[in-house]
Amino acid sequence: MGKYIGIRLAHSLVILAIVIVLVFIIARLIPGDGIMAAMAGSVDLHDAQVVERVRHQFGLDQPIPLQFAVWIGQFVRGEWGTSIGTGENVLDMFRSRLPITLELFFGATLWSLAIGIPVGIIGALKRNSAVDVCLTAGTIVGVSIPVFWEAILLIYVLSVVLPIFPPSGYVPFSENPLLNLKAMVLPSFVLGTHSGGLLARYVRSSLLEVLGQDYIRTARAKGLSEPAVVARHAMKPGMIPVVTVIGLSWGGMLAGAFFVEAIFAIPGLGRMGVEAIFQKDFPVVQATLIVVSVNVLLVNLLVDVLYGYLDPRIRVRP
Amino acid sequence: MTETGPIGLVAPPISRRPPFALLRAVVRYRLARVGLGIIAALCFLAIFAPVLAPHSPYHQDLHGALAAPSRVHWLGTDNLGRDLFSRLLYGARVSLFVGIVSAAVSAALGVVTGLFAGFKGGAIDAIIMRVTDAFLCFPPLIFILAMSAALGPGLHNVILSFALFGWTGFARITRGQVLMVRELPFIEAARSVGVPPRRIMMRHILPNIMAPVLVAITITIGTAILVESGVSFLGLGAQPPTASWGKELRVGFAYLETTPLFSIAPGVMISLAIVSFNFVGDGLRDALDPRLRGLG
Amino acid sequence: MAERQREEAMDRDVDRREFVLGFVAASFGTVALTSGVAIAAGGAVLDQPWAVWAKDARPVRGGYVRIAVEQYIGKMNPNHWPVLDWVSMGYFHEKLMITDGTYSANVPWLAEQVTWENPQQVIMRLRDGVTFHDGSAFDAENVKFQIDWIRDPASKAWDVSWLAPLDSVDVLDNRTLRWKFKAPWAGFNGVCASVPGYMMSAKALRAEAEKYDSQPQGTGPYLLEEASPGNFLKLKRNPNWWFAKASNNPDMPYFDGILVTVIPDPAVRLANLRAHTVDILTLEKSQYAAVSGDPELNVYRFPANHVNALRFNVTKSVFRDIRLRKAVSHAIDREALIAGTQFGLARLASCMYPEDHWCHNPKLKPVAYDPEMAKKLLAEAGHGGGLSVRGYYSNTSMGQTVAEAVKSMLAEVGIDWQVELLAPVAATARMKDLDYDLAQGGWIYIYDPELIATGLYHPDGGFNFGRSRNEPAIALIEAGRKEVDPVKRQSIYWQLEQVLYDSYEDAWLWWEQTATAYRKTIQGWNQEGILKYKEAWFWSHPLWFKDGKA
Repeated sequence: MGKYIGIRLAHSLVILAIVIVLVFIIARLIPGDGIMAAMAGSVDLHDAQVVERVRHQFGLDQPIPLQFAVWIGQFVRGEWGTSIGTGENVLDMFRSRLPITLELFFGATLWSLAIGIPVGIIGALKRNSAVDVCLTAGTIVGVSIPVFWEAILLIYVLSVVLPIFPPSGYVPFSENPLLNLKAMVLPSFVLGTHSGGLLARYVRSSLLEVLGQDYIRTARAKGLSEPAVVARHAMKPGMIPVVTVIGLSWGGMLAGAFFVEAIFAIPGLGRMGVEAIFQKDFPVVQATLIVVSVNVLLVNLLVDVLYGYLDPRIRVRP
Repeated sequence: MTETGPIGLVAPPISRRPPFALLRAVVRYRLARVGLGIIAALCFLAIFAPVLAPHSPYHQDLHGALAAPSRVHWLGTDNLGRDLFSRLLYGARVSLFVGIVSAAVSAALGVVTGLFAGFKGGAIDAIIMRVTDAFLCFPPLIFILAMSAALGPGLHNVILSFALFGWTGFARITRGQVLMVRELPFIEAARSVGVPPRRIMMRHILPNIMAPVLVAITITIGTAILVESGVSFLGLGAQPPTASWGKELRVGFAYLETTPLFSIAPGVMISLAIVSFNFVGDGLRDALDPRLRGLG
Repeated sequence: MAERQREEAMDRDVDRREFVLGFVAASFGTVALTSGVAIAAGGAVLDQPWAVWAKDARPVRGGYVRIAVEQYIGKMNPNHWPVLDWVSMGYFHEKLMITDGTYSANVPWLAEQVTWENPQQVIMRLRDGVTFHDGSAFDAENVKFQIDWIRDPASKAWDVSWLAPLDSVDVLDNRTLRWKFKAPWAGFNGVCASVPGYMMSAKALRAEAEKYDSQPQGTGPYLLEEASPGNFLKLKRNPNWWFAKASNNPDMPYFDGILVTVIPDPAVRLANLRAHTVDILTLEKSQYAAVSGDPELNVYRFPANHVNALRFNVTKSVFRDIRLRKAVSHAIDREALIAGTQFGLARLASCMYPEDHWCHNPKLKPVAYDPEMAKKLLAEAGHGGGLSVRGYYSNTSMGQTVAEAVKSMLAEVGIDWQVELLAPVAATARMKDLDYDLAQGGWIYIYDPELIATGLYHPDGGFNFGRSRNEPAIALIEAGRKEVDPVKRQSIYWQLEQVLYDSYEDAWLWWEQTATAYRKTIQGWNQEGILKYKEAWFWSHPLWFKDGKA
């Protein structure tokens, strides 16, 4: 097990290095005058001295490898720079918005579990029946439907036509917990359907595989009723993919969060990321890309380790 | 057709059969049939859009903006008085074009890289694999969004950005397949006879690994359509007056209460397209290897 | 003047409250302006007839009002750009003077009395008992510091050109200032009623001027409690608001606080209004028809003093050629634009000043829609085979629609307008660099005629950056600044409009109309009062919740 973890860790470090280089390249691809354009709103760029100052401030006057080294150093130390658009400290921006996005993710995960597990189980138990075909089609639709359209549709049906849920507006939890939760229902549902559909399919196939095993047949032969067979012997091993799917869809949820937060006007990381990308606010873009990719990297590593723990076969062939 | 080497083998599993046989197998699956049907319909609409469209999608009539469906305008008009139905038809062209080209370019780049990595092995293989892992740490949409923003608006930049990211998936699949296939007896036989490596790659390995690549291409087209509509939704991608479903969706969103059709119709089209490609991809995968059935 | 109104008040059968108000009001000074354009008998704010509360109006304290807007305010120092929400700016900042319904800055607000010693010198008495949100006193020293700060090039104030005629401002005593001008300055009141007149705490500016952009300290009825850039502004009631005491309404402002939420999507904003999570909303033009019939909402529609236009890069692009400017202007079907994109909520514009402004030249007619002429002009200028120009427009929902509509109209005559939809910061950068041929123009909050004229067409103007250099216009602008006789001044600005019109300096499109929806629980709106007194009404009549509950 230790060897397995060690190898995965080593891989992750190499990947991390490449990721950092990638982010640096992307961020600097935003052309230099993009940075200038963003700064033009606040400083007078016709003054050569000012231009020099700005270039120095962003390190644009250094050779590229030096810029890279300096940037990594700053990043690790927590000096993530200042947003060009709003002038806020980038790290502070992350800190204030992270809990909000986490709440959204948490809600989305709950929804995906609430949708995925029952649908997957029913699909497996009633395989190839009309119900199963419908559910399978439903899960594919859930996975395919663009998250931004789903958001619009649900807003239309559940907020405009039938005013059940508040259509947007984040109310801080500390202010009014009930309103906060109510406002989060729709956004987290929209975000959760994609991974919910994915989960349903994994659960179904995994459960089917388990149900086809010999020891299940034995249990049936012993005379156990079908529900007892399923509940006692099939459920636990069948649920193994749940953890991994949640982990694997984390990345997709991050992307979905961009849209969901923008549409529902939730002041989270996703919305910040989208706006920063559009305004070419490259300190924020850099930081967002790093945070996102490191996040996915960590989750993947965790999932791999967990999977290795749960399924010994994997450890043999890393 | 079976590929028999000098030793004489039984027919290889379906995963190494040429594409046509695969397609025939797919049609057995109900959902895949539905998907194929929808795709065929969409292609028809896209190709014959100029003929089928009752109006020009670019003709604006401001006095008739945001009109309700009528006999003249079957789905009503958009915010500039342009016929929504015609714009949706032309939007099909954009989506399918971007989807197919993006997938094709990604596949081309990725397959070549994967072949190279799988065949060479060793350090090169390890490096390439870690690079693809690194790319895959980014959620596709975010990466492509950042790239599109950096490159600028326009559909060509969406295709480019997509390809710059999408090659990774193909590289992994191809490399995996190459690893599986290259140890097979008939490949060893070819090598021992002295066939140059390039020829082995092109004539012996490549045809046998196309099936999973085909599955991947199908699913990738769906993903590309999704990404294009997402990027256009956010304002990059399609520029006016091009009619892209994603852009129509975004513009229509502002008029949700007054003219819901304006944003619902494009969404239906996008979903139909993605769903149908996913249905077909699923069916292909099921046909490929029943053990993989149901995997996402 | 005060005498007469006091008699009238006594003559009428008024109730005690009105009498007290009138008495208090009469004890304030009145404003005497030699410019004399003051029509509605310029008096102190409190003895205007419209300042009298309706007899059965019973304002109630309480409630947190929620407003949804499309864009975040941006910078909260009004002298820095971009500021995207001037309505919110007015919650925490107040001006020295405000304008009345005739677009004249006759109404003293933070200034108490303005006396013209001669056309080049003004003695200004400030109101007593006004404090900033940070506790510092509003006094003459503070005003002088602020004005000097604006004029300091290091402060990067975009409105510094509006203070060009100012020679010096000196403190005479704690509440009195002497303003000296280099030449007669008719527009002085107007400038005090505009951006330089927003009073900022010198203490805060001294401490760290850059911080002021996000932490303003004004004198207004609400103070900033929390700002989340891009998301919301939380304002809370200022219990020490001077106007509450001065008007004998200690309950003012009536709301406990204001929450301004940024919701970029119009449909979501409207859905919030319907769902009662938002109380006040400025409607998108397309929503007006659907919303005005709603029994739970009061929807008001009124002309706004903004002009929408397209600006040409007259000095540094192909649009040096007036024939091309004419071609663009005549290629636009303004009526169709108003019908289709504004849903009728706009007034067709002939030139800069709105049709009810005293500087509006009534002889000018809106540019006619004539695509054939446009094509001819294009060919004459040597671009018969087509012309490709670049530019930008706002990336809001409405901006996209208008830009696309205009692009299509221009395409019909052979002009390919490669328009980019940009956020305000990026647009500002382009504007400063003259990196465009044809872009979004126009002006918001037109008051004193000098302000928009200088801002757009004077070489030092805050929004010119060298794109326009129309010598006759510049001469007229400088003359208009100095002309104290109201009739002559009006004639100068009429001439200015004619000159700009004839040279097609901009392509003016329409003057705005605004439609705002209020939930019926919000009281205090008087449509007549607003139509008649405009800004002066808004500033002196805070709204309230019925029963004090949101």
